[in-house]
Amino acid sequence: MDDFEAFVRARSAALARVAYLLTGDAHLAEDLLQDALARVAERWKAVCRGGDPEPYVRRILYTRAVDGSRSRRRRAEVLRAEPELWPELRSPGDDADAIARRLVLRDALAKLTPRQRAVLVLRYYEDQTVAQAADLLGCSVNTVKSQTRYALARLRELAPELAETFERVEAVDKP
Amino acid sequence: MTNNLRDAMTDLVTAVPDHVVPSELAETAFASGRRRRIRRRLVGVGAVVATVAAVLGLVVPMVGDVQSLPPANSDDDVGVTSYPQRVGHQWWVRDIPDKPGPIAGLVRVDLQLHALAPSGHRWRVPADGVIDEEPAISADGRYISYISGDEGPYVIHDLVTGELVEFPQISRGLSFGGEPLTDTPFISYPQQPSFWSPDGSRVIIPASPREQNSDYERVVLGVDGSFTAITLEETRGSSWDGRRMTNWCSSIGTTASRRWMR
Repeated sequence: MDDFEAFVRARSAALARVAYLLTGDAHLAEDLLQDALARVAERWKAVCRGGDPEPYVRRILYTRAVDGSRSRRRRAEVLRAEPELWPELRSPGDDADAIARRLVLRDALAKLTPRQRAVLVLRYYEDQTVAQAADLLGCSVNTVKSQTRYALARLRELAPELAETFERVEAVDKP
Repeated sequence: MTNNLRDAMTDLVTAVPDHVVPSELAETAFASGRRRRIRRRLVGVGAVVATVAAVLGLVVPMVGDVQSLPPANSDDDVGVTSYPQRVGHQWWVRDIPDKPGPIAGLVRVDLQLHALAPSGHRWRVPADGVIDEEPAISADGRYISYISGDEGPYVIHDLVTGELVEFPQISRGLSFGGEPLTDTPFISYPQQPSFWSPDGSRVIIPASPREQNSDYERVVLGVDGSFTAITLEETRGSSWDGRRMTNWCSSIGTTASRRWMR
């Protein structure tokens, strides 16, 4: 229990950011994080015997984000009774442009499929290679490549004002 | 691979942890994990219990059925007092000894007739030179009777004392080159079944007299060596136990006789 607490304290902020990117909603991210950590706690001793628990935790987080998205979305629709103010998108000292920019990206990401979001987060937020992303998601390298391509094309459609961001990505992505 | 999308994503989630990570995250996640673990174990134990219950549900009634079969003549010290649950494989089957004790039944294995001990052990029967295809055992399993060869005699074998009671009046009635092999007064055929009285004191067998104009159709043999020939008319309406004998005597042929055996 003590190791688990220490692990959660040390890593929860980073995991929460990933969970938010994977779900696009604070409530859903909290649910996802709780769900993933509960599954890790269920087998905590065995996980620790295998060495560093982090890779296992991240694998659970990503696979639950893809597999469990339907049930979480239903629950979120129930929870979201009031208009959202997105407090998580505001930092002290921000201008209105910064918040608007985050909102556009958040909404665009939210319209992708869970798997497309997972691929983008792994490749561009976490700087993973195609092979590492494929291994973590349990799919083929080609799937990761095609999902990345579709996801970027979709983002360009959904958020033309961020076009510059995605153009740069594609330029970097080319072999 | 630093790029604008990465920067945009990093910027997007800067303030996220404060709103996503509840203060009691570790405690609630750990408690939830413990509940999941307990539930998983309960499901495992439940599956094992259900399997055991299903197996017991199948096996216990079968055992109960077998055990509820009352052994024949069980109040007698001499008779068979139990029956085997199954007839299993046996590497080596010997001839039946003189005094094996009461037997539980007869089974046919690969065209060979075997006597079955109450323990399930088998012996080949009848022993060497015995060709009767329908030996009969008494209800208490103490006696087995059969026609012991082409030239007879008919034999009642006491499996408890080993004593053999022979009836030289009966043979198979075979002939060779038109000449009969024997001149016994009665002929019985190995395919014809013989039947014991319920008290195990007499056996009745279908036996034709060699004399052409005789009315005798059956003989009744006692374990004490008594020999009584009777006509079909005399057997009709009489009974070992007031019921079964009538059925047997009023019908001709093995099929009807087998029905009577039950």
